[in-house]
Formats: sequence, structure tokens, C-alpha cells
Amino acid sequence: MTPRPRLGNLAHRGRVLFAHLHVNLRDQGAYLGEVALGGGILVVFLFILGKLWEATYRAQAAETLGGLTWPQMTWYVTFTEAMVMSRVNVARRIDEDVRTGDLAYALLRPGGYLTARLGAYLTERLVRFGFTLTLGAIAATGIAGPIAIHPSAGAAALLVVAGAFLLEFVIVTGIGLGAFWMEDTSSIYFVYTRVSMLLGGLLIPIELFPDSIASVARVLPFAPMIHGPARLALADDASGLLPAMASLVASMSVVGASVAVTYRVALTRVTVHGG
Amino acid sequence: MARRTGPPGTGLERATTPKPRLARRGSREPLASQAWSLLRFVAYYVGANLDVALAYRAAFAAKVFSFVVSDAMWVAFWWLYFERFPSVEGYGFRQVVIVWALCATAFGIFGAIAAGATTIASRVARGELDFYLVLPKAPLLHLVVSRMDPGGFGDALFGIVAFAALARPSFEEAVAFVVLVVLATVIITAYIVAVQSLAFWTGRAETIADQALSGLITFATYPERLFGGPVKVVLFTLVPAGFVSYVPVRLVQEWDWALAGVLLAVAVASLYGAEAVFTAGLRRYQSGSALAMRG
Amino acid sequence: MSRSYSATVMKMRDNEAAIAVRDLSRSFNRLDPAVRGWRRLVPGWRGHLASVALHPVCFEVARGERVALIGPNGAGKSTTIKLLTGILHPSGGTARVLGLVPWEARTDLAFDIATVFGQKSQLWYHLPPRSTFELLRHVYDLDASVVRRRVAELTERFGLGDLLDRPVRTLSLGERMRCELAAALLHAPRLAFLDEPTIGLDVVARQSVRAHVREMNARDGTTIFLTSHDAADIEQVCDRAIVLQAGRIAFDGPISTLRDRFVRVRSIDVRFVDPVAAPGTVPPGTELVEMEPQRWRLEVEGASTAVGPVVAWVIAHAPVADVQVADPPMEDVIAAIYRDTDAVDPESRRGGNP
Repeated sequence: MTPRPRLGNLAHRGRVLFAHLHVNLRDQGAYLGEVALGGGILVVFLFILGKLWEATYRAQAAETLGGLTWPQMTWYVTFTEAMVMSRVNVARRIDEDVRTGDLAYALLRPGGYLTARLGAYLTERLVRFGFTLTLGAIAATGIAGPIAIHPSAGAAALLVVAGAFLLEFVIVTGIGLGAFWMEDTSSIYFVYTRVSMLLGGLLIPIELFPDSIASVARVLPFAPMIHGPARLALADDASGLLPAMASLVASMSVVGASVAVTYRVALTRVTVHGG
Repeated sequence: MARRTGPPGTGLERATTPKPRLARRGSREPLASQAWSLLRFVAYYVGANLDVALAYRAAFAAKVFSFVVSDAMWVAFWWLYFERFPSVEGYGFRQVVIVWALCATAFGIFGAIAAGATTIASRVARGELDFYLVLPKAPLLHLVVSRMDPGGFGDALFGIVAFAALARPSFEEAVAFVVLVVLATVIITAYIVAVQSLAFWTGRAETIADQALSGLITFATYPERLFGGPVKVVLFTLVPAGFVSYVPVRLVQEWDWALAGVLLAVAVASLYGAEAVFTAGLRRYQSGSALAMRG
Repeated sequence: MSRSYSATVMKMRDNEAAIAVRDLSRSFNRLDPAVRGWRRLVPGWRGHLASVALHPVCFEVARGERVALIGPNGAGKSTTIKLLTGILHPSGGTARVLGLVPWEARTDLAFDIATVFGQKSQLWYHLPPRSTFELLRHVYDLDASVVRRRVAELTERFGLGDLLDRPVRTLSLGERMRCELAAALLHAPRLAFLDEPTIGLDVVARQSVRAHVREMNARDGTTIFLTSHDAADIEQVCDRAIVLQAGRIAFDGPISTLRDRFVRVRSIDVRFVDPVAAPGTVPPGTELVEMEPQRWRLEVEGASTAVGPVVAWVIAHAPVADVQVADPPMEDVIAAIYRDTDAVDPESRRGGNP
């Protein structure tokens, strides 16, 4: 087989990705029912957290906490929740594919296995996010009233969201690949979701963490995925974009490199696994 | 009344205990022996369920571990919160620990013993109820104990450890805790049975039941005084977080016999109520007009 | 219900039929598929269609009989079983199973019957069969010592050996079925309902299951009520058949006369000494279905007496090496029953009857 020029390979993969996106989009109808269930949980959650923060602001007799007014805080939680509730468990899918041997078969198809997974993930994630964001916004408006989002800040936030989706994909793929070595990756994924929610500022912005914890949280890849975009969306301008992106890129390089290495090593184990 | 129940020589002529096993509805065996045989049945099932769960040891440990982590994350969140804000609506860190310990332990025991309740709706929809109807054990009881959620052990473990280590209870509080956990578990089980039994009337029961359970868990784990007015009413009726969590938490910290009596009454009433709903639904199923019935 | 009533019933029981059914019927309300949209939501406007799963039927099964319930899907077989086991309440009529009215005394009846479903196992999948036996001990309220002895007996009888202590998922289908049957017999039921007990099993396992079921009946006197689509099950296990078609009993009698009711054809296989030419004519009521130079197959319509003259005619035709006269295979009989149903009531299958 003649080696393809590297750019051509990339273009080819791009085309395949697009094809996957297209196919998966048509499948999303089935997901929406499941997502609707999550919708109920989301609304209840936002309601309760709104109440909690309302009581907090009252107890502190404060206008702003961590730089946010109460309505803003409610919207902060809405955004973080929308991010978190739109999660897609690719780890389970990859884990399954490894165990059933489908991974080995998928490797036979051109376009790469991970490209296929990325396509599926992106479509599902985007649809879910659209839903959770919309529903969350409606709930938040009902709870705390509408707020003004500065267009540049909003756009910047969406960019960061996109990056965050990619970053999460990389992380979760790494977890799924653990199937080559471990009997059960679902508990690792589970721990990941919980720790990232806590240290990523899901319920309480990182600004309000005690200093020691805050410094740890800022270094971890969870902050740019959850706290970052939410905070950015509520900012006055897009000035926070650069630091957020930088943080994303930094995390991406570290995580991405490790996962890439893991993937290479994992591929060598495919035959050993008898897949 | 040695009744022949089997061919001669099998020993089954008098296999039954001397109690009249054929006692029809209306005549009662001594309550104590009924309760005893019920307990034995449940104990047996829990043991067998546990055997099944332990057959896959790693997965079992992983499940337990993830539930502990999940609960711990929530308590960690509250710890973070109280580092910054000393108290909210009269709740400090210790109160929240008590809330979580109580809820986790109650839901944990539910998961360990009665998780079959969460499968009622789906089994009715798929006609899997018949399996239990041809056996001589009460179908509801049998359904309820037939499954175990291994994660429940994680919840219960977390709850007990958190209560002991973080809340540092007094002896009275500890005793109250045990009693209240039992009552809370009863109410949880009754609630789930009732909601899941809606499957006899509507095809949407599985979704409704899922939402109801999440709602219950979510509302139960937050401070009571966050909610007022109409929401509070709902929390003592449609989604009884009030009886599962708020009242027990109050009682742990400050025991009140009258309130405890009310809670006990609610627990008992809820058991009977849930059974009544299930039985009514079952009657509907048996006369074939249940929507969800299939061949 | 007073105690004296139950005592009387108990005395009656020992002499009664195992199953007595009188005018038992069952219909369901189905949603009218023609009613669409929002009208569906309004209870009064939904538009119900009554669909009859079982027209009033009557039959009796004596103690110790082996009965096969035959019929295509939708004929009302599972409805009948559900009525007899007390799962369903009837729309009309009565029934007594082991002296009890099933839907009124479901729990009491459950102590004395067994149900074996070929498609759904009652054995716990991840545990050894012994664990299921232990569970059944609790379910049926049996004494531990009695159960121990019973398990030993059943182990020997079914050749279970060390199967009891291996997880069910490690057993073959045939082994699983044997354990399943043993489990069903643990509480020494007087009546056993078997639904497709040999489904999915290989030939050897099927024969073993049938043998065990017959033994169940011969040794313990257990009344057998079997539903199956498998012809050999019916033929080898049961001596009586009740045929359901579209919710009605089309036949109730010995299996030997079942054939005559539905397939009035017998086949004659002839092997000639030398190749022969095709015959000019064949006797009336006869059809030459297969013809090779040295071998013919004829089908003769009508009662068994019709065969004699045809055999005589064949022998007269040319020297014959071998003649075999056979009944139509049970498959053909069953197929004829199922086909007959379509002719009798084409709606029966499309009705979606349980």
C-alpha cells in the first residue's frame, strides 16, 4: 500500500468524521426520550440549588458572592448543570467494544476507530447539550429571571464548550481503553464523573473554594470543562477566553498525549486479547 | 390436620408444619409465626441475592466503591460549602452529615433488601408477573425481595461510617438513628411500590417511577427549611422526602415522642397503602383490563 | 370463608377430577385501532373492541391423566393455562382445579401444582440449582429434613449427580432442563403444567425430558397438562389431546383418534422387486404422490379400512418386495390443525389474543 500524504489522510479522516456525524444525527430521536427523563431531574435540581443559593445570599446578607449576584449564580449552576448532564458515556462503549472484540473489527475499517467514536459522541453530546441548555435556561428564567449575556462573552463561552467536549472525549476514551487492562472500567468512569463535578465547580464556583482546594482545582482538567465556560458566559466581555483556552490546551496536551500513548499500547494488545 | 400433599413414601404427606397451611383468607395464623416465616424468607433471599452479587466479586466491590465515592462527593461539596459559609437556614456541616447518613443508610438498606420494588413496573409491562403468581408466596413480597442492588451496601456503609465518624453522635442519637433508618426504609419501600404499581393503570409508569425516585432522593438530601409553602406540602405527600428525611433528621437531633409516633403511624400506613395499591392493580391485571397486559 | 368449608372441600378433594371446567370463557377489551389521536385519551371515547380469547369451554381431566393442549398461537392455550392456574379471572363460567377455584384460591392451589416453562427458567442463573431448591423450600413451606431426603431422591432419579452444585449458567440446556424438572417436583405437586418443555433441546435431551415426564406421571401419579408445538412431545408423553382453535375446543379425545379427525390420510410405501411402469389408474380415494421406477408412495384417504384393498391392488400389480403402511406423522396432523384454524377463523391469529 502506498503511503498516503499526511494531509490527505487528515482530509480523509475529516470526511469520515462528517459521515459519522451525519449518520448519528439521524439516530438521535431515540435518545431524546431518555434525555427527557433527565430533564425532570435537571429542573428539580436547579430549583433546589436556586433555593440553596437564595438562602446563602440571605444568610451572608451579600449582594454578590464570588463576583456573582444571586440571579447570576443561579445561571452559573444552570450552565454547569447543562454541561454535566449532557455527558455521554463513551467509556462504556469503548469498554464494550474492547471486550466483545468489536474494536478489532472496527480497526479493519478505514477512517479509524476513534474517529467513529468521536463522531457518535459529538452528535449525541451536541443534541443533549442543546436540550439541557434550553431546558435549563427556561427553568433558570423561571427561578431567577432572565439575565443579560454579553454576545462576545457568550460566543467565547461556546468556543470553550466545544473545546471542553473534545477534552472530555479524550479523557473518557482513556478510561474506556482501560478495558484492555482492567476487568471493570465503569467504576473509574463513575469516580471520574463525581470528582470532576466536585472539583470542576459544578455546584459552587471555584472562586468560593477554600484557597488550598482552589489552587488544586485550577490545575486539574475539570475546571476548564465545567467552571470555565459557565463563568465566561456570565462575564462582561470575552477577556477570559484566552486564559480558558490556554487552560484547555494545556490539559488537552497532557491528557491527549497520555491517551495517545495508551491507545498505541492498547492496539498492540488487541491480538493478545484474542479480539 | 395431616393432609396428604404428596405420593406416599416421599415424606411429603406431612411436609407442612402442623399449622393449617390451607387457612383461607380471613382465618389467621398466629401473627408471631407469620412474622417469623416472613423474616426467614426475606433473610434467605437476601443471602441468595448476595451470593449472586459476590459471584462477581470485582464488579461487586466496584459498585460498592462507586456508591461510597458518590456519597462522599456530596458530603465533600457540603464541606467546601461550609468552609466558606458557616451555616444556612440553621444547617451546619454536622446537620448535613446527619441528613446524608440517614438517607444513605436508608436507601442502602432498601437497595440491599427491597430493590425488587424498582422492577415492578417493568415486570408488569413484560408480563413477568405471572411467574410469581403461580407460586404460593405473596407476589408483592416476593417481587420486592427478588432483587438486590449491590450499591446499597456502599450507601449503607458510607452512611453508618459518616454518621459515626463525622457526626460523632451521642448514645441517644445513635439509638434514634437506628430506629429512624428503619422507618425511613419502610417509607421508601412503600413509596416505590405504590408508584411502580401505577404500571397496572398506565404504560408510562416506568418513567414516572424513575422521576419520582430521583425526586425523592434529591429533595431528601437538602436542608428542610429551604422549601416553603406549596413545595413543602408536596414534600410531605407526593414526594415524601419530609417523612423519609426531614422528620427523621429532626428526631435524631431532638427526640420528640409525639413526632416519633406520627412517623411510625405514617410508616405503617404507607405499608398498608402501598399493598392496597398493588393489590388493586393486581386485581385489574387478573381481570385483564390492565392496559399493560400482554399474552 | 369459614374453616368448616375448607375442611369439607379437603375431604371432597381426594375423589375429584384434577381439572373440571364448565363454560369457562374469557374475553378482552382491545383498543379499537380505528380510533386515533386525541380521542384515545378520553376514557369514554376510546372505543373498545371485545375480543374473545376463549369461548365457553367444558372439559374434565381426571387424576393421573396426561393431556396435551394443542393449538396454534392465539388459539387460547395460554389463556386457558392462566385461568387454570389462577392468574386470570374468567369472564364467565367456572372451573375447579384440584378441588379449588383457581382465581379464588390461587395461593392454596399453588402449593399443589407445578409449572414448568421451557422458555423461562425458575432456576437462579448464577447460582447452583441447590440454591433454588433451598429457595423453593421456603416458598413451599417445606421442612428441611424432608427437603433433604427429597433432593436426594430426585438427584438419583434425574441423574443430577454433581450438577446441583455447579452454577446453572455452566450447565447445558439438557442438564438445566433436568434440574428444572426436579425443582418442579420438589414439593410433590399433584398437577403439573408444562409449557414447551423441550424447546431448544437436542434430540437426546428431548427424549430424556419426555421419559422423565412420563415417569412423573407413572410413579407419582402427577396429572400432566402439557402444551407444546412439538409433535413428538404430544405423541410420546400424552394419551389425550384437547385441541383449541380460535378459542373453542375442536377436539377432545385420545390421541389415537386425533389423527382421524384432522388428517384422514394414510400412506403406503411400496418397494417392488423389479422396476415397474406407471399404473394406468389408481383405486378410488388413492393418490400416487411419489413414483420412482422401483418405489411408490401412495396416499389413501378415509378410514383405516380403506387401506386393505389398495394394498391388495398394489400386490396384484407387480411383485412386491416390501410394503409399509404408515399413519401420517404427527407433524402433519398438527399442521392440519393449524391450517384448519385459519380456514375456520382467519381472524384468530390477527386478533392478538394472549
